[in-house]
Amino acid sequence: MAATALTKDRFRTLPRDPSVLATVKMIDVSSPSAIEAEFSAFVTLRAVRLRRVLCAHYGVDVGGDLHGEALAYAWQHWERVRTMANPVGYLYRVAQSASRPQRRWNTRHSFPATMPEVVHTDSDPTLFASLTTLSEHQRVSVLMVHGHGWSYAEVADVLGVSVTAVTNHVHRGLAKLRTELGAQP
Amino acid sequence: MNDLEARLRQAAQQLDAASARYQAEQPSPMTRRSDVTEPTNVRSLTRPRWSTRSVLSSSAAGLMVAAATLAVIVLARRQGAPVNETVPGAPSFSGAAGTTTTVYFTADIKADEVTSGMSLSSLANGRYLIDTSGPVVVEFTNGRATAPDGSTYRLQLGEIADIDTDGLSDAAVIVTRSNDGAAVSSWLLFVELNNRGAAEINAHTVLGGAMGVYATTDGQRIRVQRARTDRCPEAEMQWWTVGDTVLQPTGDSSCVASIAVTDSLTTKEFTFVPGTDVGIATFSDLSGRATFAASANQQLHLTVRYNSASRPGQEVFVVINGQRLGSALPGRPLDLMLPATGSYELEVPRIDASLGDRPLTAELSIR
Repeated sequence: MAATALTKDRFRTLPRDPSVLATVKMIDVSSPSAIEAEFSAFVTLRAVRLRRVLCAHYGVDVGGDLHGEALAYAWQHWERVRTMANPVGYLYRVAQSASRPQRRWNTRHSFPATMPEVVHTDSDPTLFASLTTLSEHQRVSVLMVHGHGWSYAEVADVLGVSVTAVTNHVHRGLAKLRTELGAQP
Repeated sequence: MNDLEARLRQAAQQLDAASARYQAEQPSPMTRRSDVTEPTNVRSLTRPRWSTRSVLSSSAAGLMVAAATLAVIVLARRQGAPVNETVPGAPSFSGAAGTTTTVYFTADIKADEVTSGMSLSSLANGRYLIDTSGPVVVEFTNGRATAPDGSTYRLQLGEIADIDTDGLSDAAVIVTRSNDGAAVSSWLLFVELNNRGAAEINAHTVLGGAMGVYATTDGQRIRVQRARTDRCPEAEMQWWTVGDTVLQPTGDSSCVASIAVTDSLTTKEFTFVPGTDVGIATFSDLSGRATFAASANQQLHLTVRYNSASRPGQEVFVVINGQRLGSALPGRPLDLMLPATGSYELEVPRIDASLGDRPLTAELSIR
């Protein structure tokens, strides 16, 4: 019980990053419209990263559903989420929790999508097929770093792992992709 | 790899577009009810990386490994087997002062991006900082140009090999890749300390007409010597002191470099007063986004400076509703008449430490 309380307190703690602090301080929390505007800005500007990670992890449709679920959770708990130093990382965990019922029913997450019409892979079907052979963390790391140009640290922040782990995921993922695609290293 | 990277970028764009379409069909999160319970696996997100428990557990594991290794060595000795007692990867090298030491960089970083090796001369002493995005094999030889005869040390990103043979000066060698990704170039930076040991070397270098910032403390002198690159002649040297900004065009754009030396290592505290129409805010260590409120027709003045050694070209954008209104660079402030009332953002698009990006300090005034 004490451990749970401590965990929550840590999430409540205001971040030390002054830029994040600025975001927190400048919003009048007594104004509903200001809070909605703040949340909308969060959805528009920062939650895109969450959506990308979830789509790389679970596929477009399942990942999109989890993204919506995580954002709904964020809105319900916005007072707490808005003060977190790493809200995207936290919401990624929320989405993972939301994916449990599907795992429980042994639903297989299909990348890039469970419904083929959701994403068109005609331009490079072999690459998408090869991406499905990677582990979820490898796929997320490779797509975020080499597809979206994130730094290793940014990926590590969201996944909640060390930078070294992300480095390993990227390198092993690329090696596997090269093998699958028959590409020269 | 470049081909694979392009394909990955294209795949990421396809996924992005598909997920954006998918999200557009979903209800707004503000009208949706979530049944997700509090995540139970969040402790790893908040747990300090060096908690007491983790240190103790890793120490215990380390002790067990050490004990097992010792046992193997003892057993091997008793059985008369040869034992390699050298410590692989030990960060120390020997070299007589005054001799010429050649350092070879065989960079197998992402193999597609950096392939060539290069040598630097006159590196008998100092600290050698290898700043790349992957492992680098550094081979030290004494007096021989081609055949390495000495140690080989594999350095990871950010590691520093101490090579201190005469105790007179420190040096940092930075290997980086050119903008076109085809060649390796390097700079050799000596920082001679008036008060030896009082400061750490904090250096960064870039190529191709860009700017590097060398953060030092006041009173230090910096000597930058351009080492041989693929297209540049060897051994150009220049002295600068703290505060100098030096442009050194050579006619070859690949060799142009401007070096800014700064003594600004301190960061100011955030002092913006929220809710006021007029004020000055200082955003220290800005590495992502910071929000500020402003009204239409207010005059914004934004100045940016590096906090420490940084890659040039790091910009701070002023954004509203996802639209970038303008940007400021160190040395190039932004003056802007704000078009609307609302919540604006300062945005640093991407911080990639492996490329030399560092947090910035932005000073914002609104009138």
